[in-house]
Amino acid sequence: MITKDKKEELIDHSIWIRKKIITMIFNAGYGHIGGSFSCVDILCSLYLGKLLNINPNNISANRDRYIHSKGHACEVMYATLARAGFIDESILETYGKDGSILGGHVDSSIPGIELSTGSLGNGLGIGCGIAYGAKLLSEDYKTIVMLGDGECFEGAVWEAAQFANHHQLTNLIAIIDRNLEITLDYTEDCNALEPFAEKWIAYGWNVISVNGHDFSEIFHGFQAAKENDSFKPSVIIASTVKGKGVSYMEKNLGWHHKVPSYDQYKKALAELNTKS
Amino acid sequence: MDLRDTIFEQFVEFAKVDKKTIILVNDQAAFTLNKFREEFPNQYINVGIAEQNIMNVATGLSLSGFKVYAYGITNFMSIRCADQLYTNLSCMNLPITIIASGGGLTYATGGPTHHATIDINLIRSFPNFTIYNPCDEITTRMALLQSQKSKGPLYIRLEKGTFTSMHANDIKPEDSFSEIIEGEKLAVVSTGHISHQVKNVCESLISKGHSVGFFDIFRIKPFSHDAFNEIIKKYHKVAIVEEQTPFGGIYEQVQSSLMEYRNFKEIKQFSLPDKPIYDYGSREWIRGKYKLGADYLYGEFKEFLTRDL
Repeated sequence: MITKDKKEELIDHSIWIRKKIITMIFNAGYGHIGGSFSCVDILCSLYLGKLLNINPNNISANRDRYIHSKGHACEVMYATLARAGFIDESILETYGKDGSILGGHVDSSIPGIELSTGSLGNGLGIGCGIAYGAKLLSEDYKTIVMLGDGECFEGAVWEAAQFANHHQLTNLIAIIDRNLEITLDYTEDCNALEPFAEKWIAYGWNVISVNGHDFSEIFHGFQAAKENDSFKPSVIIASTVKGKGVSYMEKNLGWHHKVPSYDQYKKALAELNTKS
Repeated sequence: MDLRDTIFEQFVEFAKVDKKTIILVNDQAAFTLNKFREEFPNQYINVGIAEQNIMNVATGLSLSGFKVYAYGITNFMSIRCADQLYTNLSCMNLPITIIASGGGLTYATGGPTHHATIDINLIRSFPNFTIYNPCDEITTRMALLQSQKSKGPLYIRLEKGTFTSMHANDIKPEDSFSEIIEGEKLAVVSTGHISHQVKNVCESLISKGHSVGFFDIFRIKPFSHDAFNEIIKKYHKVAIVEEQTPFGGIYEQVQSSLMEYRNFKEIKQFSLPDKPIYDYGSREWIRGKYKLGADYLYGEFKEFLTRDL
């Protein structure tokens, strides 16, 4: 269970992260805002709610491995890592500037980033390799892979899904940011993913469905995945809203990688401030 | 010894002493590997016919400190998973060894899906990759030995069958080629399986009194340009033979090297055409049909030798 105080603390973190994301993107003039906002609360739970066993001051061999497979949603990763103490907050101001260490896709040279990603569909298979290796060596850390729902159009995701079940990778947890949108279309209008949970069940996964913006549900879901006593890998399908937190972005297809105008930026900050 | 045994017997030697040495296969068998699988089931995964996933799983294992090998039919271990080879192995410079079964027209009757005629062209363009295209036991074993030292990805073309070794025992990886036969007028350069046929053609010409040298390139990337240009400068003309399509293989590599070093010579290219081959027959028959047969090359080299500049 998550306490009321803890929940309020996480809400504060999530607002801070959203404000950093939009500021980075507004200043840089580019970025992936919708898919960053949709997974803020999940990343907040993982890093600031300490669902992940990772200490920024002591990167141990037994740390949980987090793979941000939807690598284009990098701004949420950078802001979360700054809030959690992996990188200095001032580095966020370099985003979009020449020579910054922060690129448009996550890069493993940045402290706290396990794997460089950007080509969608590969993170789950790489997570399978890490989880398989951990099993062989009897290591007890978990491997957690965050995928976008649009990423699940990629065939490589399903090659990995099959492998994970066959090899009983119970130490592998996939989280899917099910925000229902890709760049141009809603997933169901483009190449329908539904019945989505049933597909994962059919591939032999332990499926857990949560509201990806409700901290209690995220905590519950993650705990259930960690305590999974079946022989199956777990997938948390997190229902989310693309652009979550800013009214004019939510469920509005344009905001996959649109950059807010000055007025829109100010309006978004004002809305986010009222949520504190 | 069959080159597949050469490579996998060496692999087994490594794997026996290092439990973190592991091989992933795409349902592709090899005699020595089958025995290894029975003895060391934890160090062998048949990932199935899923090459993108093989490279992703290999990446995860490599990041966790395993020494990873991946084995399968060439086109599927290269073209099919080009994104994973580039994004993971190349961009992250991971020490994973790809053992690609068959080069050029090894699977002669397999059609273009199985003709490995563009893989080297593709992999050459990926940063950090080292590419071996060995034609004999000495260079095949050397390629695998390098996999233990390499800090980046390795791509090894593996032929099946037994071949007479043409390289010297003391050849080093950084040599990247050997001047197998020394000549003066025409230098013939080749790589991989077809090198044996080309060498025979050169020997026939020499027996008729022609001055022909023969080079085999066993490591395509990185290539020792300095040594190559130093040795080849004594020749008047250069013929390059490869069982690849015309673009991006050793012809373009040698040609650009010669230009870069101002080694201006008349050059002639012998390669497969820039088209998928839907002709079915033996390797020799297809070579013959597409102007890579021994008789054709003999005539062309002779004509090239005797033609004035």
